[in-house]
Amino acid sequence: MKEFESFVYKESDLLDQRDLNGWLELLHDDVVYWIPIDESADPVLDSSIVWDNKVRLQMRVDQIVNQNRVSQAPPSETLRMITNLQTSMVDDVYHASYKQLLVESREGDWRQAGLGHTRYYPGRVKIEAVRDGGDFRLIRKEIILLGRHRPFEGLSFIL
Amino acid sequence: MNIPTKQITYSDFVQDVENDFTVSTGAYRGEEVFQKEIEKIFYKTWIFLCHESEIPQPGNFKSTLLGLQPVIVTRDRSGEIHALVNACTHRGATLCRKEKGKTRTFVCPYHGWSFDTAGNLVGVPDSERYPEDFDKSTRNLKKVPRVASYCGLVFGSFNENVEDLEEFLGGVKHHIDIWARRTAGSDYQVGTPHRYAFEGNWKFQAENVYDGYHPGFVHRSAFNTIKKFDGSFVNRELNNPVRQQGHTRGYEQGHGTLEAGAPLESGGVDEDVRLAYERKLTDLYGEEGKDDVLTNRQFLIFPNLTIFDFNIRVIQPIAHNKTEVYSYPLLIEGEHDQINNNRMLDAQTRVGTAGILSTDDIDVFAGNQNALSAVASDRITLSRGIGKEEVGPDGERVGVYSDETPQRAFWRKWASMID
Repeated sequence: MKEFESFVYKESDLLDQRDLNGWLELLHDDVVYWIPIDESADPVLDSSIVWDNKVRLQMRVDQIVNQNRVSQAPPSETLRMITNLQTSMVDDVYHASYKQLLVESREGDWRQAGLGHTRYYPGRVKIEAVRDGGDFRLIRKEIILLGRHRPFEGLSFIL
Repeated sequence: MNIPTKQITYSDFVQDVENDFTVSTGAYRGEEVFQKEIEKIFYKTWIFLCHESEIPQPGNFKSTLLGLQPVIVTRDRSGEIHALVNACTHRGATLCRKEKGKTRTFVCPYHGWSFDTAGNLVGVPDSERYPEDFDKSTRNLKKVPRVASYCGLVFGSFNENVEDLEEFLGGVKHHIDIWARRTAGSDYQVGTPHRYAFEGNWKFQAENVYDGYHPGFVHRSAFNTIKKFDGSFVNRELNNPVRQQGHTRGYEQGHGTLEAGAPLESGGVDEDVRLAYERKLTDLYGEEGKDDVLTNRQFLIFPNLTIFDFNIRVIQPIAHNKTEVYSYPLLIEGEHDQINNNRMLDAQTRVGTAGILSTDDIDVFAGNQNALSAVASDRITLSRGIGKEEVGPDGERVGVYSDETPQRAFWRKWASMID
């Protein structure tokens, strides 16, 4: 379990370090990445903020890393503070749940509209991973944000 | 001594002369012009309230804004749709605090007055302390005087003398009709809206929805990525920064459209499912009608409703430099799951809260507000295609895909209402 806890921290560290290609390597081919508006809704039938499979995540990463996306130029810096981490294992699947405070800020001339804010995205996170040889692979991540039904500004980074 | 105050004529902000069309940047900033817009435009014309599928049954309601006025849109026991001012007639408390739901009555949290879904005052606790002749029927909820719908789109107006809805829609009615045919004889069902906000004026989003000039630049990153991932979009003219196919249109009523001249669909629908859907369209509307229906089409109903093939977006002004957008996915009742899942994902992945397109747009809008925040940047230019567009007998103007024809239609209407 200690190793799995390290994986949980590593997954969020890679995002904070903006090593998005390194982060993609942690993902299982069947990964589901879900940020619901209504966590009781079926993401096939109703809207989510993000409901991505691996290809859609690869596309988001490519747009940020290789294509100089407008809304990530200048880019977001993020810090993910994780607390109340609980882990368990059910049928070879490793489960983690934790509370996260994601803090985001963009570089650039802070006096301009749209820049110069430190934004806070508190939420509950659930992670599922499986062993693949010696490594873990993420098969599911859910981020249930506070205020998820309200408008957000500029979710152009990987949350 | 009387010092004459300088009276601003806001319509002068729009300069529409031969071969040049410019707008004062003053139209995008400041509380004064913003309040003028709310008063002279949002409270005078038809404003979108909801899609009928959001309140399908008697008792269903939705809390929303008409301009800056909180209203509750309801379906009463007889099925009739009302738009009620969301303020208790007793002491003005906000009556309904939920965004949507189903109820028989709205009970005020302050002193417990209750109103039915048609707005009638039906309960006053301890009413004996009012005078004998106190008439409850004079204290019903204030109503938005005009409510009407077209193809499931419900509009309201605070202006009792506003023209009929169909007259207001004018030239864009034809495009709504074609948009409605995408359901292949069924109805649209709107889903939960994606909601996003930006630090900029509402008109930046309004002017953007039919802007065929910007995609190759603002969305180049998304298009480059899409090209690398085969099958993620179909039939997109991705290699040309300024698209050459298609049309823009502007109407005297202020509305405008952008048509790609070709279908534009993301992948993920099996060939047989797609063909079965297209066959239904051919059976209903003929071969040419089917092609017309499938042509990518996005338009703005003046001043703040955007309609796309797969979603509708409400551009909600909050302040002169703050805007919220509510982007509703449109599913087709009874259609194949793959078609609907595809429409849901289009609305989500492309133009949702974390969309690969919309978040780049709003970053530009905030930058616009920043750049136009002071007087030195005095005018913006909307002359693209001017003098080169076709003008029809009914005032319809038709330009090429990248022309600023619809933006000019918007501003001409704006100037005609603002003073």
